[in-house]
Amino acid sequence: MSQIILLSSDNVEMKVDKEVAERSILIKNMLEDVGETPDQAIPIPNVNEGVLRKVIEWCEHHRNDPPPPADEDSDSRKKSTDIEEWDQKFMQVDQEMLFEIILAANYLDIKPLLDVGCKTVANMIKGKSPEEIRKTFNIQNDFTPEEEDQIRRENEWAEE
Amino acid sequence: MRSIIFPLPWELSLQILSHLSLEDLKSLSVCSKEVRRFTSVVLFSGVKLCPGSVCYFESGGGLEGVIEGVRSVRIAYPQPTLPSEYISLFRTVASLLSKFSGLKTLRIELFTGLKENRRILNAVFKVLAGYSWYDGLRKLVILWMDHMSSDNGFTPQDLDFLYSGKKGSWGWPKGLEEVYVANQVMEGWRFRKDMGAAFYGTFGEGIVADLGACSGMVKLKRVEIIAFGIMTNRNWRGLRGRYLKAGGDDDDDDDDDINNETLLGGNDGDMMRGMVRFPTVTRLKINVMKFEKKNLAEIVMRFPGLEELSVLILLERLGDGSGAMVAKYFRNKVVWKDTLGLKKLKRVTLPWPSWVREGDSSRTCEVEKEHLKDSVAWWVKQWMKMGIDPPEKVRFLQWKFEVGEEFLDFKITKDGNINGNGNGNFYWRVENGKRKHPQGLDQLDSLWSLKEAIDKESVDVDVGNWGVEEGIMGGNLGNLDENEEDSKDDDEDGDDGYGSEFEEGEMHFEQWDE
Repeated sequence: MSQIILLSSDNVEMKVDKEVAERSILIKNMLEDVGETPDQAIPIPNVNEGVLRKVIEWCEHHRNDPPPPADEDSDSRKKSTDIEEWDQKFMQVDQEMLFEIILAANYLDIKPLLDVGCKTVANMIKGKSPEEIRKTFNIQNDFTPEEEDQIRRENEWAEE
Repeated sequence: MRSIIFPLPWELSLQILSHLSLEDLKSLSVCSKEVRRFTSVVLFSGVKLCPGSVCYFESGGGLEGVIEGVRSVRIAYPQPTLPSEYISLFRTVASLLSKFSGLKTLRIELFTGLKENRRILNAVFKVLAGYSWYDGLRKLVILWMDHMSSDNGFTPQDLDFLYSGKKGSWGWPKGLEEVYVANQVMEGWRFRKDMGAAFYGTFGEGIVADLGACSGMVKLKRVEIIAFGIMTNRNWRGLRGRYLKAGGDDDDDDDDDINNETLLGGNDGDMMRGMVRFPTVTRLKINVMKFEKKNLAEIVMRFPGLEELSVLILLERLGDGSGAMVAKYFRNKVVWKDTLGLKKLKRVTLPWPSWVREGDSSRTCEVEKEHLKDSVAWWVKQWMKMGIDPPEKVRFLQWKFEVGEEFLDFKITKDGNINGNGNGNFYWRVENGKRKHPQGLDQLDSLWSLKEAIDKESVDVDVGNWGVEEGIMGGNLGNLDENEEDSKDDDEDGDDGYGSEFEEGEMHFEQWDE
């Protein structure tokens, strides 16, 4: 099993199986362009050590996942926020780290991880009252009660 | 740009919002002004335009700012009301919609009198067709029921809206990909000739023919129709003399004469009557009050590219159009041979055939499951003979008005091992389920949402009546060779190319003698 070295934004080198690193489409394409396994570390300038370790952990666990199914019923899948158990545990991190993972997954082009990240955030909103959401994301309510009433009335006309 | 609530770029924040339900989005949107701005684009991608909401979208109404982001509009009244109320609403809405430049889906619910419904739709589309976004519409849903008819209370503006430029012609949006039309389900029993019902029964064929008459609709992929009748060449020809005046040039009569009204779109003069083909359509679903075997043949002819076909008869029994003839449909006629003409078919739903008990025309019996299995086996064999993979799923469905439905599914799979004779083995899995209908099917919607639930084989299926079994069929289905003489019959039928003329009583089903 050939290995490659990734270099985090804070200059920490990490050795990973090529197969694992190739969960990232960005890295996969990069390696394909180079043609052979490079000796030097591949810099990942947007991702720091802590986040990169997390991302690699996810890729290790999902190294044998089949490719995602074709995008046919995307609408029905979109609304679902089901997350498999291991991923749920994996995502039990503070908010800052959660958003960092999402950003890294987006940068590295790891769609399934990005998806899990977004669903995790969505689940933090799902079924909650506005007050609970404000608390969760530390939002300051700047509506007067009258304005809030007005907003609620306007919202009645929104539809799927 | 970063959203205030998530420290993420806009497109990633949008991805998070895409996982939220409408209710969650509403809760989120009242959190703060900043958050509201950020969520509005998603929250108001679909809106309802009704008497209570129109003012919000008008100048200074609070929701004016979301209009450009609206992708989907539903125009509806909370409950059926007088035609004059509908006309007033649609007149306002038609003009308001000029600003909805991003509109992709339009849904219209119209429950006035039959005559008024058509006039309102005609007037609305005439206005909409003039807007720049019109040909970009991708999805059209029209729920259209005969409810309350009255000429009272029309204002001069209403009349002007209904009748101005009456002869002007408009076409369906050229970019249409999906069309859903429903009408007249609840008034089903009024489908009788002595009540002038020939008209009622023609909606399906009228709209399909009219869609076909619009040139350049090359994107149409999916058509679903819930209606009384189904398009047939013969009906269409009969209709033409009665309801259509091509181009409307000579129509100066009093419009109350239903015979002189033009169909929607007014393009009927351009088409080859009854011969319109829709090669781009891949999904067709038709729920009708009656369905004859020749209708299936015509569907095959008109929609040769179908990957998914669903035919549902809204009454309990499989009819042949004459009522008294129903008893002809014994189990040996189950196989709908004409479907073999659909070479790309992947999923098919057909009525679960029934027949009338001899000597007791009031009782129908459904064809037994075992016999359906035989039929599907024969079917699969025919497909393979033609060198075509059979559909992945065959469903027989019986529908009992406001009661529920029962289905029998055959899921057909081919294994990866190609054996010596070039054929893989086909496996199937038979699943039988029941599902109760929600009460109050006056909401035509429920028919469509019901469809969704079934497609997912959802938990709504009554598990008490759930049975699963699996079978395997050899590559050449040798155990069915006793029916080999069938193939001779095939050739003698000589129905090459699914011609447009079918004699009453001519059998297009495979005969299986016991």
